[in-house]
Amino acid sequence: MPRFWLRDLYYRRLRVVLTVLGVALLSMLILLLGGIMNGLRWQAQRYVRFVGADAWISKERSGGVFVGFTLLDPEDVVPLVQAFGRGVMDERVGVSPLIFAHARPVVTIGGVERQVKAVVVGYRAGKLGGPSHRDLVRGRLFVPSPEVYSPEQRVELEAVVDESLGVEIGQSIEIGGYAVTVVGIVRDMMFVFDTPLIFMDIRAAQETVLENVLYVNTFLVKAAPGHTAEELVARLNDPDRGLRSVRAVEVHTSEETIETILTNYVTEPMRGVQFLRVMLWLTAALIVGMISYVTTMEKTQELGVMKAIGADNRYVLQMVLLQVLLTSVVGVALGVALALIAAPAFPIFVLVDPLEGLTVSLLSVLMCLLGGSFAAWRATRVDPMIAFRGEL
Amino acid sequence: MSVVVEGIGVTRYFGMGEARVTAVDHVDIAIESGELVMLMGDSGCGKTTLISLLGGILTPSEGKVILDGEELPFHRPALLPRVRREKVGFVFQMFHLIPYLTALENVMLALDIAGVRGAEARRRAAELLDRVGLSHRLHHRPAQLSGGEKQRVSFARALANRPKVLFADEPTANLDSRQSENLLELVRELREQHATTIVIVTHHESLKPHADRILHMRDGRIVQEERPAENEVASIDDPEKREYPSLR
Ligand SMILES: Nc1ncnc2c1ncn2[C@@H]1O[C@H](COP(=O)(O)OP(=O)(O)OP(=O)(O)O)[C@@H](O)[C@H]1O
Ligand SMILES: [Mg+2]
Repeated sequence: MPRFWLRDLYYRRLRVVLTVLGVALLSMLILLLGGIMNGLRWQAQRYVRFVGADAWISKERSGGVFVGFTLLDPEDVVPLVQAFGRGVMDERVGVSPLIFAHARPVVTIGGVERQVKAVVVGYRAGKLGGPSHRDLVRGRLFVPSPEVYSPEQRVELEAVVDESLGVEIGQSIEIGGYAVTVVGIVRDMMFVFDTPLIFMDIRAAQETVLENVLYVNTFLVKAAPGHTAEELVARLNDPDRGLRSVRAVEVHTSEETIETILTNYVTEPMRGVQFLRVMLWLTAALIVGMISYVTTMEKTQELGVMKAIGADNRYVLQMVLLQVLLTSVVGVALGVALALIAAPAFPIFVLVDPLEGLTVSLLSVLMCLLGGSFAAWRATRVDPMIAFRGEL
Repeated sequence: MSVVVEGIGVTRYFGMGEARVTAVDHVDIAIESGELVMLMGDSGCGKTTLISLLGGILTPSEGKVILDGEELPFHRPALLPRVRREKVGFVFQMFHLIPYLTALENVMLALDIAGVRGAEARRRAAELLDRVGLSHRLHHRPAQLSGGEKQRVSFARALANRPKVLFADEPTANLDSRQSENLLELVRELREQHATTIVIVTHHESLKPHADRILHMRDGRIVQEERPAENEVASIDDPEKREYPSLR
């Protein structure tokens, strides 16, 4: 049984193939741009989720450890946190000090020295903030420094690094002029923009990135069993009776912290990308619209004859829209396939989310239909007199 | 015999003001069921315009058309396609077959438009093409057919939905005289088989003997009527003959 609208498409197959390719390319770009944002979003949350703290304590109005700068004195803050958190915070984990500092370590890869971007994370082994030995892909954790500080104590400058840094166990990396030995490797420990994390003992971090000042950036606390993160944060944050009543600090849940990171590193900077995506959608609609329009104009004779022999507007509309639908569905499907193939080969981390891919595809098809609907409308306006007179 | 198509005061202007052309000028016409009428006249006298008006393709400026007992709904253009596909068949001078469809599919397209699909459509289309003597050309495309064959496919397509009346605008203009003669033989046969009323616009004097009635047009008006069988010529402008039965 001949489907006449399909036969028509086949007749103009070269143009259809070109349209499909155009739509495919555009929807691939739309998906990849979305994938870049998804990747960023994933990286923005990855570390905070991995840490699993319930409360992040930072200096008041500092913006927090991820987007601003906060420096706190453990001798001053830790006893207060313990006092104010009593009953709501998990005493077994205690207060975890943390250093989170953007750095430019020098690494040697393939005999070539290079300065790369990284984040130095200083924490105490066994507390919150970094991997335990179970999280290692290979190697071991750094040798921990004693809890009680003594000036004579020599600190081992050792690090556990994300594999994306590209260095191997036993290699030395230079951080702030200090040689740090890589002793362990972790995987998928990244911050936004593919920044690998370098984990060190808190003391080693103080020595290398804080000029051995005994301050830290932030403290992490977990809620005691039976208490929620919100309770813990509310208690510490209480401006009258909480930690905040005696020290200029602010306390946030992990969710709030993630929200801050997302706003600063993804939502705001990616506005341009979002805009670009919208432009690409419009371009897809325009391409399909233009080609369907030109095709319709070229077919006025045929359309006129069909209308003369009784085709009504519904018939004509359906014919054009089915053609546009098929063309755009095939184009978008091809675009999805291309995006999936291209994503791993992309120079930055791209996360193509299948559900988002589906929504994006539907939207792209919708945009194409929108573009084609003008041509379809134009087709219904063709005067059947054309059948008698030729071009009017 | 009953009247299938009737035009009352049918008029069509084109353009406005100084440039206004009266293509069809207050034409009264009645065509009876089963008739084969030919419409003749000089170029530009309004023949094409008249049959487009009668077939519901063009909207008259004045007057009305009654087709198969139903006044054409020119005031509701959305209803016209139904009339065209159910009651009217058209054959065009330039054939206007769809180039990428075979003869069979071109006929099936007309059926598809009327909602007849699948095996039923295929059977009916094949049967029609057989009637026009093209059973050996079912799967040829228009480009692979001669002019005469193309025009036969056009007739098959026009007859696909069993129209009450078939309008053909210079169907023989692109055919040689032998092909034209054959086509007219075929048209007469088809009229017998389908009991269809046929209106043909033509310039070919030699085809006149095939007609039951020949209407001559000049300047948008029907000015003379001929009945070849009865050797009768009536001048419409002659007040004496105004009472002619098939004219109002
Ligand atoms: N769309 C239009 N706009 C303006 N004038 C028109 C239009 N269509 C037809 N006319 C005019 O109406 C008159 C009748 O045209 P029509 O095509 O009906 O003549 P015809 O008898 O079919 O001529 P031919 O034998 O050359 O086909 C002509 O003068 C023509 O120029
Ligand atoms: Mg004409």
